[in-house]
Amino acid sequence: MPRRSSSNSKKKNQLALYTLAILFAIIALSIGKSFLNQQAQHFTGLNEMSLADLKESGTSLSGNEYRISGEIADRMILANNRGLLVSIKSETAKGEAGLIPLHIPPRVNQINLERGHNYTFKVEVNREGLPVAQDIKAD
Amino acid sequence: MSPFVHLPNQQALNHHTPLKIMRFLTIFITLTIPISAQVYSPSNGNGNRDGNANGDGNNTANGSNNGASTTVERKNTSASVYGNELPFVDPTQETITIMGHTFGLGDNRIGGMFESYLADSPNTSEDALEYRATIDSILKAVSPYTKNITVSQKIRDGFSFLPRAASYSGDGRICDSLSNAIYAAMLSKGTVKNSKQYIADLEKEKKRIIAKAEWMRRSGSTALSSNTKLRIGLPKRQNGDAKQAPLHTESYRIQEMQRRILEIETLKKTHQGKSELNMLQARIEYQALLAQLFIQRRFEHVIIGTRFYNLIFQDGSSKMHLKKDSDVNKFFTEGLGVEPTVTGLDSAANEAMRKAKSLVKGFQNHLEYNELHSASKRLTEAYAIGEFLPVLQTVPAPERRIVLEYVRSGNDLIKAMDVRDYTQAKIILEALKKRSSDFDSTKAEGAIAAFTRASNGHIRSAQLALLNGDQESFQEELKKATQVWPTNPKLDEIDKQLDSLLEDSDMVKTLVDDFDRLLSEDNFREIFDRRFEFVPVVKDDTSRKDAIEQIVRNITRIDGTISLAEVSSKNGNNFAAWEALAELRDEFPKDPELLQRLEKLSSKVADFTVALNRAREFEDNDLNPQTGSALSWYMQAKSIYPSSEHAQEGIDRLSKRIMPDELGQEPAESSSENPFDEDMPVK
Repeated sequence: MPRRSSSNSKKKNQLALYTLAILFAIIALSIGKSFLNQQAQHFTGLNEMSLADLKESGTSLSGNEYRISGEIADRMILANNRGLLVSIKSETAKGEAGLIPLHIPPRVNQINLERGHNYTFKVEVNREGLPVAQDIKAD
Repeated sequence: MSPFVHLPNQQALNHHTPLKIMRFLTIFITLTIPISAQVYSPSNGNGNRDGNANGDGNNTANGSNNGASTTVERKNTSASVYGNELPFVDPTQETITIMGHTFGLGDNRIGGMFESYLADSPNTSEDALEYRATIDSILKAVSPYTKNITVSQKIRDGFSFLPRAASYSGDGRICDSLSNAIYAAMLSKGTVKNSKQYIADLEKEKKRIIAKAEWMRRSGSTALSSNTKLRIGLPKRQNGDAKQAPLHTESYRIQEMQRRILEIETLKKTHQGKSELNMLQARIEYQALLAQLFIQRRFEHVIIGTRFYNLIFQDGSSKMHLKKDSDVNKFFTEGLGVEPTVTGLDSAANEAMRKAKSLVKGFQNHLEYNELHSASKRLTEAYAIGEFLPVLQTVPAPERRIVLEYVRSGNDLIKAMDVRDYTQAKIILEALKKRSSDFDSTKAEGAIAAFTRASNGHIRSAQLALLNGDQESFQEELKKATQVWPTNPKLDEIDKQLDSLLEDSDMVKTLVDDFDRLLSEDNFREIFDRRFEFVPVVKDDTSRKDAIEQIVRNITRIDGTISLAEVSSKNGNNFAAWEALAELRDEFPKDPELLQRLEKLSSKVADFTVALNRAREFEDNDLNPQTGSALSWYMQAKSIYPSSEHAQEGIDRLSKRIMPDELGQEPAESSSENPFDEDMPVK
């Protein structure tokens, strides 16, 4: 009987141990992932641009700098060497999804921007409410 | 309708014989009576009783009958006792003149009397039979062939029947008139007889005075006074020889006797003159009655009267005292070439009666062979001669009815021709041809053909004038066509054409007004729907023509686009359908069909249209340019419908606003010389 009790208690302890190990592992992974995300996100010092605000009144954002992350849905070369006009398929942390127009002046257009690829842009909203890229980081 | 006939060109007959009278009557009946009421006699086709001939051949079918056969009425002014009161039949004009009025023989007033006779029942009542027996008795009583009876007895016998005959209504009291005339003549004759007796008495007195005067001459005046035995009228041997007696002319008594003789002689002459005058007056009055009865076609009474005349006036003189140039006088003098006599009147009456019998017999023969035309002519002739004769009065009712119906049809034909209703005339004509085996339709058919052809010719000319726009000629030809044949059915066609023209004129004005109204209301769809009405009426109006052409062109384009949109919509591509229609909306913002279709599609592509609309709002905000917001919406629209031309165009437009570099920096100069230097998507 005591042997049997000792065996059952041991099994219980082993189970609790395994459970705690798994929990720790999960926590560790989450922390690691968060850390890694923290490490991968660019221009973290900037706020994400609000898609809703841009749609309702872009000029209200004029002069502000924001961060825009997303996939390039379309791009268009502007004539007269005025750079590119791209549309960014973005989904903000608030759950707002949509296309954001973005002007990439020639001086900023240093890297290859390909449709379907994700980039993070540091933008400044011009006086007509159009985000203008200041810097670009490929994700 | 007396057998007196005016034949100006007929040669006078030289002898008054029964044979010549018969021949004369035969001629006048043949010439005059056949133009009876039921015989068709087309009037002058031009229908102008004022003599306005239209010169279109209207007389071709008339021959010598210038339309006077049916309605001629001419007032003569003569009022002589034996002048125009007598009916005269003029065969050349087919007219009859009664009491100064001239009628066509087909005139209803004449024809009406004949129709009335035809519709009447045969007069075979007991009274009628008794009356005829009485007339026969009178004729027999006063007949010259009745023997062994004195003249006075004949007169008394015949006279006694006259009141009985006069009591019959059909006699019309003519026998009474005859009685009065006979009585007056007899009185005159009695007065003359008395007057003769008085004259004889006067003569006797005169002779007595002469004898007495002679005796006084022979015996001397003293002897006359002393010889009381002397008696006038006694033999000379008793009173002495008057020649031997001395004449005492100085004697007052002789002178008184001479004066008395002269008075007696004068008185005698006066009475003789009066007697002769009375007799003449009696003859004239009696003859006047006979002439009157003859005029009235009371031939039996004429014969009765002449027989009484011969019995009353037995001096052998039957010469009629008629006014010279009177109609009765002309009948004898111009027609027969003899002096009118009572005997001649008697003969003519007898011949008329015989002729009437012969005509009635002929009528019955024609009827037997269904020769209604000839039968009706014979009966009309007989009726015209003596409607009161027994032979006419006893024609059976069924025979009369057959003729009556035929005559009525004939009168209808005449009326139809008279009013120039040739359609109806033709129908009646065909019916008459079927009904009667001897009806001669050539004259009527010729007339109908001539008039209808003439009218149709004028109508054709009028139509040509109408086509040529010659209104004056059109009216003239139409007037002529109407005059010739007022009921020509083709006139209705002309009326319809005119009505159509008038309606067209009104319709053109209405259409133009409608077009202008719709145009002012921008109701182009209605104009388009009624384009087939408007185009013909505005073809000569440049501005309206251009307008309707443009409307038709645009709406055709809109409808074409709508059709394409429907196809896209059916294929599930409502965005393409909407875009196709929306493009036109900017061009035709008031087209209801387009707007309706757009509205219908909008519900299906609401997100897309909302995005485009918002983008457009931001794009068009010049006071506060919202390029970013506009681009954001256009891009959203394009994400919904990647092929959206509207969205792409918006993006393209806005991209041109984007400055090349720094915020607020002006865009670089457009190198417009380089056609490839345009914004372009990069794949």
